[in-house]
Amino acid sequence: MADMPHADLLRSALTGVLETDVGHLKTIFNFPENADIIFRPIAAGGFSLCAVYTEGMARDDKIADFIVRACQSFDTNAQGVAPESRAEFLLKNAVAIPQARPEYRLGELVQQILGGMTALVIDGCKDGLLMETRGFEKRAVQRTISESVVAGSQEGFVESLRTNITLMRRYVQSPCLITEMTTVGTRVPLRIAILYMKGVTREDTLAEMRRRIKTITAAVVHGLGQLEQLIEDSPFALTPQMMLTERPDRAASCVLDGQIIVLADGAPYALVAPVTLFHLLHASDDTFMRWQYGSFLRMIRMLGILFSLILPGAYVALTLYHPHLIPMALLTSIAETRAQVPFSALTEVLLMEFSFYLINEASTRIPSQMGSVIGIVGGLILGQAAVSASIISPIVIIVVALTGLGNFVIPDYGFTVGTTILRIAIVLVSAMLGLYGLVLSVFLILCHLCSLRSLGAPFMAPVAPFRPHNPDILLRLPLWLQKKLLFLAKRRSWMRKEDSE
Amino acid sequence: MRALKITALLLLAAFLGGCTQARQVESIAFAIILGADLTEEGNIELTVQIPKIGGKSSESGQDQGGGGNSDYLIASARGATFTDALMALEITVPRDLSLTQVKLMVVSEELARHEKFFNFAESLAKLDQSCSSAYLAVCRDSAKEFVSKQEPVIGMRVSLGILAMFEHHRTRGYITGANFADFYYDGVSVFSDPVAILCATTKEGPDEPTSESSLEDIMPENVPAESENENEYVGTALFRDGLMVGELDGLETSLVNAVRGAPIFFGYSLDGFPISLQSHDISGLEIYEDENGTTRIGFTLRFNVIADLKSPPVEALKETLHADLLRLLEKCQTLGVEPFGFASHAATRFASLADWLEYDWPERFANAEFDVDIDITVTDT
Amino acid sequence: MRLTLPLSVARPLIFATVSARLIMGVFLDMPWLYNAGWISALAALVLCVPLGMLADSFTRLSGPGDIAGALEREAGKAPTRIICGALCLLAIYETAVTARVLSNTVRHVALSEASAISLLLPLLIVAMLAAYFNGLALGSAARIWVKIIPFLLLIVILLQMKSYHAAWLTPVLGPGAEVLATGAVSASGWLSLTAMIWLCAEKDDHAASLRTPVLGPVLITGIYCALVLALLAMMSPPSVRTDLTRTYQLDKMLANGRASQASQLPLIILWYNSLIFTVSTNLFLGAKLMQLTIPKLDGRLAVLLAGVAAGATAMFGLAEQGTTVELSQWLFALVGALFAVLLLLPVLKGGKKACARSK
Repeated sequence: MADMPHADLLRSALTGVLETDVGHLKTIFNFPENADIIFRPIAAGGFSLCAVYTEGMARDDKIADFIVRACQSFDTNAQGVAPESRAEFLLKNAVAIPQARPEYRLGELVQQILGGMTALVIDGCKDGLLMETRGFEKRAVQRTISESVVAGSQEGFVESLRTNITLMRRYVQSPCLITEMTTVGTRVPLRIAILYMKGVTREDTLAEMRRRIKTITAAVVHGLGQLEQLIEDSPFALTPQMMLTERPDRAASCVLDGQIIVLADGAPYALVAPVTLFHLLHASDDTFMRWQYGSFLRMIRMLGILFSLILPGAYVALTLYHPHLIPMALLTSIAETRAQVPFSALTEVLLMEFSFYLINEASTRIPSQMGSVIGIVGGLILGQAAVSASIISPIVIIVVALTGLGNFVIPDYGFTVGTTILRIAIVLVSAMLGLYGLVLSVFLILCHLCSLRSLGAPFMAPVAPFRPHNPDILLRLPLWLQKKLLFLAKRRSWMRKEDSE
Repeated sequence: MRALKITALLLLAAFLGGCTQARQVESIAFAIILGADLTEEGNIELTVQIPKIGGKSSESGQDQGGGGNSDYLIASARGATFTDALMALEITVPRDLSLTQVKLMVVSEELARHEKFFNFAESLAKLDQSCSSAYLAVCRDSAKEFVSKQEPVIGMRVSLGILAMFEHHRTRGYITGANFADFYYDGVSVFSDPVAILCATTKEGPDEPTSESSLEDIMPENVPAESENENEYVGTALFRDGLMVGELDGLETSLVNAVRGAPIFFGYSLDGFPISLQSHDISGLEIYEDENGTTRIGFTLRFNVIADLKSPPVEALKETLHADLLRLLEKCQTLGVEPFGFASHAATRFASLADWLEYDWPERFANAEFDVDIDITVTDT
Repeated sequence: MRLTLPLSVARPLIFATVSARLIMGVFLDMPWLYNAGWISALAALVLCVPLGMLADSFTRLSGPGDIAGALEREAGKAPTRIICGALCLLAIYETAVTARVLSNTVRHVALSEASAISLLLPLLIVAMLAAYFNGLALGSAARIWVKIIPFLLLIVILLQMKSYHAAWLTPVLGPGAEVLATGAVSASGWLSLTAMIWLCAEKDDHAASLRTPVLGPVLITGIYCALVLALLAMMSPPSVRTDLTRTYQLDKMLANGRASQASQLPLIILWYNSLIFTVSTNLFLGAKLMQLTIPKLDGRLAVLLAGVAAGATAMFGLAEQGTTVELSQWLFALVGALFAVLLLLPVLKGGKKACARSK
């Protein structure tokens, strides 16, 4: 594999000769082509320094006040200080930034400078100083976009890793919430944070997560979506085996259940693992609302998901192979509406499903000012016109509309797309073998789901295989009945309730 | 990855194998009514009524509901057996013929009384396309004519119209609730005898009522009424050993239904006094042999009578009903038919079917004596 | 690849598959039991109780790990492997039998013109894939299916509520005690197929707390089957005056004529899925028993071999009603004898030591 440019330099340390070290940094940063890397020479206490930072990533005012001015104006005589102790001397006597540390590795210095910190390279000293000056522009904490709830917190994660960690800290104010910082990507590293509850998260799960992250050999990892793909258990499965959430309260609830959260720089959501299928089907609303409402909404959602998966397949199977199972009144209605349509039931369904995906995809990509166009195109052209022109029968529009609605009640977007693909497969098999094909394919999907694992934990647990659990799977029963900690958590964890045993 | 591709290909190949039998619903002709006659040559003639599916903007512009006969296709074909006739019918009908949605099967009385009938029923029961939930009716004349005159006169699709019509007749008690499955299962079992609905097409104007009682002696051909609807469903066809052997009129049918425990409402006229009767249930059914070895069947038939403005004559009603019931029981004994469902009750005393067959229920019933009581409760509602 | 089946998920698998096999055998293949098939099922349950107790005792006393391994330690390698081989053939045959019944059902319900191969091939491929997903997946899926069964059954019962007549369960002994006893022997053979699942299972952490890992599911299965058979019997009087073919019985079970055709749907789903589970489980057991007989055999190859063998058996007409019923009369004796040999061998060999807890 080809080595990175200036790999040798990156692996080296500071030499203690200011010109040489600054020269090395300029070489690495491709200065002067790279105009936003600032090298600011300073004279202080009788020796020379150079502050290096990235314009825009670091706050100029902070650098000016607490580094440049502080170094220039300190009056302590540094003549008696040994050159190799100058970094420590400056740290104690001059620099007015609380978060600062000595660093001698060139690679680390470069990485942190790019992240917004400021490095001080000191003449005669083999240690530099790294100071926290990050101050890039970022989005403020705003409402969630895809996981909105009626009752409950409205805050969502943002693209700043630091802000996201802060949000997590705000929701889980416990010293046992551990934040491990690491990077992924061998060429262009991405800063990520692994958050978990000490004494609640199972050590083997945590070790497995660390192992998987460590073994990533990708040169660059673009956000959590790619990270998920690199560490998931079954890359060929159509169902996601980890959960992405943009809600800090949901992530906090997961971390308290013993699950692991991964946050990454630039990703406005958190990756949760391990998860079960039921995590992907539950929404935050279920828990916030009273149990009766939560249970009812959950039942509606489950029914919607069932519709979404099998309704078009069932329609095709019944109309093509089992008309005797359709009540006569409905059958004649279907036949009457289909009499003028030139396509077979299968073609009709596929055509309509395709149109639906087109509208869906277009509405995601289209600028918000033009959003109403989608409604007009979808509702008028594809709906009414297709029926008037006898291209599609109204019953198929009802089937596809119900399917689409059912599809969008799935809280996890990845799972929504997975379900769509499975649905098309079911439609095709149903068109070939009728109900027999439908049942065969649902059986295969069920077995496949049961064979999946999320970070080693069975994906369909705690239902199958059975693990002790709260009455919070299909129904959401009262909170006072929910005494057990999630089975993914460590057994005999300190988080378990007093009366759960 | 290669294994995955191979599996996917195999699955596709496997699933493709079955896709030869798919039929679009609009290309199937769903028969709603199936009629069967016996021709003079001793052949079976099948007639089907099929609703024409024209689409919402069909060329003819016909009204889909409640229209005339033109909304339906009537087709018939003949054959030596049911299967032959059906094959001929499949050739005649210009679409794939499906019997799975048949709501009514009409058999002519001539065929029902002919020895070919049992084979006909057997073939129908073992047909690939199950249609056993259809009502079974015996028509006094030609089933073909009856089928062609069956129209949804009150503005519904024929399939729904038939169901609504039977629901009305059945709760009124004028017909039995027998569908083909009931008929066939009773026919091949060793308990009570099967029954079917009796029907006919009114040929001329209404008959004059011949009795003071509103339902007595009323058969499907002589209902004292006139209507656009020419097909009448009143009464019961009785079967024994797979052949029709007799019939019951409207009142007798109501009483059979009451003894079988079906909740029915029917109007009764006692010397011009209108009475609304509701069968309650049958209680205290006992079947045993007395010291002379005679089989005795005892039960109490309970009715509710709704008191409207003045109290109904309960005692007189009891006497009349008692007499009617005894007359019915004797009629069935004479015909050698037991349509009341007593047999399955009698069989509970036996350990095995062999013991039961040895007991010879038909013979026992034919010579049985009855201890029947009528219990009438007067209610306000 | 090693095929594994944790004992904790074997329980729902026993219920999901053995119940379908028992109902299939008694109702479809032995129609001459008329309306008293449920008594044969109950009698079969009584016959199988000792076997279940024996299996439970052995499971309790054996150490952790797979049951077959424990038997090998106690009874010796050769007898265990011979018996596993025999049971493997039986499992493959049972796969073929169930696959055949399923294809008959599919043809009866809709695809009457489809060839047997076009119905059997997808089924066997799906079953092989399910077996390839391994025992935990299959057992877990069975656990979910077992939770759905009561709802579907409830819908079926509600739809047919008016059709049930308790009087049609009489005369209680139906065709007579002798015929029922023969039926019970066959039924016990099908119920004793539980032994295959038990033999293929291995004790896991979650099974440790189970008191009756085998007897419990066998009892539930037997009682459930008797109830379902009684319900089926209450839907029509005994059809003694007609030819009782498998198709006729299928029609009686699925349609029955009383409720509308539309109400067949939940029952069809229930029946299809139960049979698919049975086919897949039998195929998995065949492959697993093959692996127990030849330990070096790769699991994937074992699944493929079992699938091909079952397909061939089903295609060549060796799994039709007549042969199946003939064989079923010897099934209980066969499984019982194999069990007796396996469990008595340690006693004959080592007396008390054999029953001691393994270290």
